[in-house]
Amino acid sequence: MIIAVAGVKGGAGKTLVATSLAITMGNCRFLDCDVEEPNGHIYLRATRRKRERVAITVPKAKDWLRADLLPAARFCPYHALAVANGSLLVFKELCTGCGGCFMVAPPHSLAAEEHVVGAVWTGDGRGGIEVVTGELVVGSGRAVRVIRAVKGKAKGDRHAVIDCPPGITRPVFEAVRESDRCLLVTEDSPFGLEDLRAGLDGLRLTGARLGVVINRARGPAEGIRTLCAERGVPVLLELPFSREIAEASAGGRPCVDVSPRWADAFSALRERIGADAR
Amino acid sequence: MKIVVTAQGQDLDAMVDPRFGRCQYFLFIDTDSLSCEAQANPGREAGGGAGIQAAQSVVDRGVEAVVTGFMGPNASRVLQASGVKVYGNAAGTVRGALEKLREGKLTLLSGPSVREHFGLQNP
Ligand code: SF4
Repeated sequence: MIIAVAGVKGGAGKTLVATSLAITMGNCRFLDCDVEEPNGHIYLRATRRKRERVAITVPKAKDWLRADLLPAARFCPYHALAVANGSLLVFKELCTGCGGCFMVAPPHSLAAEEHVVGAVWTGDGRGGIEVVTGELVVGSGRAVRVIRAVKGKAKGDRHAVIDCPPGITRPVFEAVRESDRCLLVTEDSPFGLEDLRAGLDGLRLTGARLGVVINRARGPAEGIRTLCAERGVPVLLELPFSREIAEASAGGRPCVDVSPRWADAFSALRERIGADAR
Repeated sequence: MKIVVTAQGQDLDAMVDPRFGRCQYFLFIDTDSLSCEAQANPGREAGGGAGIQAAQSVVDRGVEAVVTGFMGPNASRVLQASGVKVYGNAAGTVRGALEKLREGKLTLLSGPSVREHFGLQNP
């Protein structure tokens, strides 16, 4: 089973939920797809074993050929190419590695060059959890590529917990895709309701079974519950506003370590999801 | 001299558009005859790489100089590599900017004057 954990916005608490759920499940695989700021490994106390580069193939002109590359430059849907004074200029940060220019340019007029956009770390965390961490090269803008590489490490031998990027953005859909379950973590605040509605309606399209986790609940969270009932999405866990949990999180300690109460709450969550031990 | 001015309208009385990559129109002008031809900027609606697309379209027309307000790094790289001169800090009407150019009062840029996405953030 693959369980993706997303947050309606940054700071909602998705890493807290994802790491504590992974610890509760044990022996699973934690796929950190929050590639701009992956920090699940801290809560899981992971050591790093192996690093693999994530690269895209960008074109490079063989200038000596004097081939006409203007059609290829015009073709590039991302405007990553220009021809100036007969030479090709390649703007690597804009290239998505789609490969189109190689087909449009005269045969063999372009060389392929690797452009590193990120890395994937594999390591071991507590409780037999394999921790896979995606890291995006800042400014490369190729989050989706790195997320795909991280998800490529999922195999049928273990359950997987995916920590998504914050908010509901394009890379989040890549992270959630093909998951069986998606937990959407939301804060209990009146401002979060619109975001939650949009998040639920968007993530529904991924086909994953949705569930909501309410974090920092200060009261009965009626607005959230009504919305979830309307959308037919269960509220699977509710964490109160708690200084203890907040302090533990800030110190890199997972919520389940704070007190048996929260360890029990996460066990209940695991049962409701139906991710039994493997 | 054949030049291009970024403009908000289609004739010499239009205001200069301070953005290069996301300007509304390019006015291709012959500074001797003051003949003027407007072309909508193809880079205007681009998701990314607006400056590059805009610069390529200008370079393809074989102009000697660009007159604009601000220029980002990507467009600047294309224009520099093509040997096109870039005059920045133009404001007011296109006609006024041409006057300033003649008087040598525009700044000749040797590189970008703003960061990427300036045009997106200052619509
Ligand atoms: S690989 Fe695709 S995105 Fe990259 S330069 Fe070629 S056409 Fe453009």
